[in-house]
Amino acid sequence: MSKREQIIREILFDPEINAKYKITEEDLTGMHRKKIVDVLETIVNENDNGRTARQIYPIIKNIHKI
Amino acid sequence: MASIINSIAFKNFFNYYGEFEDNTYELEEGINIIVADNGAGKSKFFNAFLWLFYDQVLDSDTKQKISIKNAGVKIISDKAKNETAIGDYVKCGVTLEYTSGTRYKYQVIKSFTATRLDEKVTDKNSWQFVMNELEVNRTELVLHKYKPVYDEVEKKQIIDNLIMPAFRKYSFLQGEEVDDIIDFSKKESIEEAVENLTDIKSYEQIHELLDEFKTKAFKDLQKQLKANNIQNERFDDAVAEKEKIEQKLEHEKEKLEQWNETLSVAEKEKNDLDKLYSNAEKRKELDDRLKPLRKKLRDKNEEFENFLDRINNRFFDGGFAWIAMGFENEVDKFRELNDRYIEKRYEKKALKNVEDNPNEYFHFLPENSPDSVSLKNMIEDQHCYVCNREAKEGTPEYSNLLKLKNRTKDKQSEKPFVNNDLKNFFGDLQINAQPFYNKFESIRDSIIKTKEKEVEIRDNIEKLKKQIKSIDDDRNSILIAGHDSEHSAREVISNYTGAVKRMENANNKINDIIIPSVNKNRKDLKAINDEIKSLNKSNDIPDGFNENYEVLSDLEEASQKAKERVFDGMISLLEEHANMHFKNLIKNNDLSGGILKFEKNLNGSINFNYLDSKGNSVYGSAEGFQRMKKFSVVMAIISANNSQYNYPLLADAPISAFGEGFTEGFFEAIGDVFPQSIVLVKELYKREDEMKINELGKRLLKDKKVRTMYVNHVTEDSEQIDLVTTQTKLK
Repeated sequence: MSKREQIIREILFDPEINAKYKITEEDLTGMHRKKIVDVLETIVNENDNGRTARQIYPIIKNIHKI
Repeated sequence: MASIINSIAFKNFFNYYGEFEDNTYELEEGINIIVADNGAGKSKFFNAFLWLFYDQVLDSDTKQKISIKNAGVKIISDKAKNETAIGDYVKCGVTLEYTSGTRYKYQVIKSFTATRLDEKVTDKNSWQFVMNELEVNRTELVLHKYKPVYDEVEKKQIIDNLIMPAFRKYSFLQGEEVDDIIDFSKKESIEEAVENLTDIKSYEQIHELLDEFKTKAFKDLQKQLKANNIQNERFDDAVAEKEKIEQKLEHEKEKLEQWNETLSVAEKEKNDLDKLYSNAEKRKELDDRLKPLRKKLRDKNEEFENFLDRINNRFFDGGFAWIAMGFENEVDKFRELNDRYIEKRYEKKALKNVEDNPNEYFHFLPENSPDSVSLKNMIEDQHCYVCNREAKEGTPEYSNLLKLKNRTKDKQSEKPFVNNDLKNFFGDLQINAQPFYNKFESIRDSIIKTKEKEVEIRDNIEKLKKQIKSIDDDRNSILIAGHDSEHSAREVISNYTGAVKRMENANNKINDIIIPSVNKNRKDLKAINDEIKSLNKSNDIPDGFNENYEVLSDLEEASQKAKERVFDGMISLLEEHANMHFKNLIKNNDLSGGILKFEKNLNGSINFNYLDSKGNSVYGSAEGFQRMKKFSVVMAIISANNSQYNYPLLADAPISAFGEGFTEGFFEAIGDVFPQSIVLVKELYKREDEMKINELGKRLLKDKKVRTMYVNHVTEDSEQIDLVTTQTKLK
């Protein structure tokens, strides 16, 4: 498992998040992802690619179509 | 893919006089021991690495690191310097070969050339220094032939790869520095260690981003609401309240930081004093023994002074009459003179009296001579003791005695018959000498007795001085390493208790007041955020904004918790490994049971305490034991690393501080963690032995894990300029 995946899992499988959003394996690997998963993956990946907060935020807004 | 050092060599480097070939240490994977007595090149090994990595050495006088350029003349072997003629030059350098992986072997050579300008050997202005170019060579292991590396960047990389910078502090364990290497009382050092071992940095970055995004999302939401032109008083109030609470929270967090700072400082002081504390107690005990002894010595010295003063008196004191020594014959001489005087005087007086008053009473004898008591006795006894004749009552002799007794003392009635009547002169002499001439026999004995007394007092003083010195020596050998040893033991103890009190105080403030306040504010903030969220929901704005804010807010919290989990997880892992190593280290020791416990403090720093089998904390224990604790943690940091630790250890192992019970455990334990160790020890050295090592050294020599052992010698009884270190390879 890559470091990225590890970090994402560690955060998403937080008890409170899990209780509220009910994340499953399917959500992490499948095609239809919950927005929360999308958002976190985006942040982790873009951060690894060296993007700044200013550059990342609009991408997130896009996820919510705003 | 570990780095293994194959050899280290020195050229005219401190006491290592001569060419590289003359001063080479060939090393292998596993444990390499170099037995080096003080002054026999022990710390120079570390200096070689300092040069290789940082172009520095440690100045033994100031204990500061200085650059090679500035150190220059001090580094060069004294013998080599002396042998260099004016105008000629000498080269000084270190070289190291290491293998990394299975393909390449590297050679690094650092050196400089010094040309002598004048007679002064030790003055740095007497030499001209030129730093030689860094030489890095590489060879394939298969076909051994060194080829130079030209690219400067690559050269640097090769040096760095020997031991990566981030890990150097775990690979160089020099003496007391072991204690400083991981000062877990500093939050930063534990964080750094964890950083090296985990991706906690990534979690931090993610969390920071999420925090920022959360704020942005909230602002966007506010904008939307304002844009929708909805007059929502409650919303505005809620936002205002939220800001207020956030400010309060900030304020409380600042206070927390300040108190944490206070706590850290106090804790650091305590930890620093920890080292001193146990030594301080010992010192205090010795101080308590010294005090009365010193007072005794002072008193004895005073007694001696007084005694010497009295000797002077003994010359003139009638009780001792020393001054009369040698004057035994003078008494008779005086009597003779006196008799002649009396005769003469009598004659003159008699003549005078015959002239004037033939029947006047006579004045042969000086006044008070014989004295009235003697006269009284003579009259009573009817015997003259002067001439030893009978003087019966009624005889002329008896009436003479009576007349003498009754004679007047009227000087004025006397008519002068001579120019200088020496009657008083002789009389005084006689009287004053009286106490003295009875003492002649006893003077010699008295002097001898006095001399004996003098010797006795001197001996007492010497004995006391010896006692004091022995205790003083013990006291001075209790090192309060690295600190101002002027601190009296009492001061240490009182500072220690002071620091502990301040820690408690800070802890209480933090736990009882500030943390609850912070928590309350957090709770209030959450409540108001929830309210704002619900207020948002009831507004007619695109869902996206709400969702955005909600998701980011939740993720922010989750990432914070994830970060903490990772941190705590690593601390547990470190604790586990530390205990494993600790058990190994103390295996052969009397210490039984007990574990190392890592306790996380509120300010983020870590205490690691040793709890005995009953769960009680053991503080301020012996120095060796403290070292073992810290060694365990250092090794835990290395072994808890997911991949194997790939770098060699260079350690200065103070075996005497460890104690023999620890020593074998120590070598075993480091063998498990480090692929290669180079351990410098002085306590194995034994001058009288043929191999120059003691029993423990011989045992280690037989140990399979020990792959090489060198013994350094310094030429004995040499002048400084001739001092060289030579090495013998025992294995």
